Amino acid sequence: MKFLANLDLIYLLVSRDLKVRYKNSFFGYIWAIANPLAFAVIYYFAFKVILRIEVENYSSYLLIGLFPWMWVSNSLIVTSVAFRVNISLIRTTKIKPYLLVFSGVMNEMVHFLFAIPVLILVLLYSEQSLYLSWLWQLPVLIILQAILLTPLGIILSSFNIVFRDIEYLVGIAMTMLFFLTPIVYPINLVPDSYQAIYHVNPFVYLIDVWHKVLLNGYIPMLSMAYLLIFSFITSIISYGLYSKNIRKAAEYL
Amino acid sequence: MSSLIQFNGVYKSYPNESVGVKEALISIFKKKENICHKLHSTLENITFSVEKGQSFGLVGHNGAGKSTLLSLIFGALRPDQGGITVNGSILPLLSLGSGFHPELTGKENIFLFNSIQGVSISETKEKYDSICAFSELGTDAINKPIRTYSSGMVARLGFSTVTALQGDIILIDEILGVGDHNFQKKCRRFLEEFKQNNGTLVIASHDDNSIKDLCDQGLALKNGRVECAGNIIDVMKFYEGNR
Repeated sequence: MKFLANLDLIYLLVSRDLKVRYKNSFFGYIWAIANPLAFAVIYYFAFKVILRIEVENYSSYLLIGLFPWMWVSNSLIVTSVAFRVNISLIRTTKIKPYLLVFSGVMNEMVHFLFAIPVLILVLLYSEQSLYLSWLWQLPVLIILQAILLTPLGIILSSFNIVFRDIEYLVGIAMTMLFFLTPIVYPINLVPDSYQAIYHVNPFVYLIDVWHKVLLNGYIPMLSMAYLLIFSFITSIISYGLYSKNIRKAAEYL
Repeated sequence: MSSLIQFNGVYKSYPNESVGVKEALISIFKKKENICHKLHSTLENITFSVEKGQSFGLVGHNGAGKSTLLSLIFGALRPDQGGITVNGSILPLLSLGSGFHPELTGKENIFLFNSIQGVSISETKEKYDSICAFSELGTDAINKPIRTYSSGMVARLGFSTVTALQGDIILIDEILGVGDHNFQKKCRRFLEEFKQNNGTLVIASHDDNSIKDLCDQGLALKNGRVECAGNIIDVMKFYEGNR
């Protein structure tokens, strides 16, 4: 019963955010995907046309990395302030604050889902093969990414209760991580001496999984295992940090 | 006998400034006491109890600590010292319309707000008609975004939404002055009925009349200390004599 009520709240919060964002615009769906597409066009021009990066089917490669990245980046930026912007709710209602973080991740997930048809159209257009196995692989990846992002969001928003600077640092960190993740360039261009440190970034594995699934039709198990272990550890940390900091929310924020 | 709400020597203070990375870095080098000096105390040595079926009034000027006291009962804040026990489920009425979104319709806001308070969509569906009837907003208004509402209409919607929720203890923070005269009467009647069904009320207000009408016990706060406690008539006499 309680669990269902929580699901209801997630559903209502996500549909509220979608409605509020697109209610007054006729081109609601187009706006939802315009942002990543605009970035895709710019990066294509900068890296393919000007820098002449050598990647087969660069437009497919770029979009496959970019769309999941938008989900990562937007989620973490939104969820890091989830407690601060909803402080009056936390103070005066019975809301469970962690649901605010989860709904932020789900909201960005819906935007990602909106973008999947565009992705498939681009793959079709550039004569990439489509795989039947996507029918189970895509849901697995989407769930995996939600599992990866939720604890990270809880860690950031819990930290942000005590150190308000976190929300500013997240934006900068996301820009840095974007270029430290193989989205606009292939991973083999990273010099050997940097490979070890480069692979500390969990999003390297996440984007790798997306590339392998959408370009080659298989899930790379090593990357998958790394992500699951990473998510497990961050879940434990997020639980500890959340239960320690959330009681301070009402007076610190 | 165990009271529904029991405060034993409760102290509460707020940190004066929010903490940033700078303060955290400084605190590594400074000793801990230095930070504690910055605390600004809002409640000192609060002891009282509320029995089941009682309605309890908290009076005091702005900044006396009424809202902090309610937040402590609700559990959003924790005391620095002393003990608080609450034996019952709480229905917080601490601010009307928090959780409402201006772009959503009245109907959508009812569902969202109830859900925030832990009520599932199917339960709200059952109570939806009675919420609408209480609000007297009419189907036309209820299907419009609440940014088109007057503040009185938003308050009506807010209070009506709460009438469908369950709880042993209702906490009210300065919200009885909402809406027009008729609606205020209706809210009072709702609270009277709640009392008759053995519900417990805790009301913070500086509106003398609503406290006098609804409450039987109470306490007066001044600068975070209990100045007078007991029968509401005595408390009000003291409060009125001292301002």
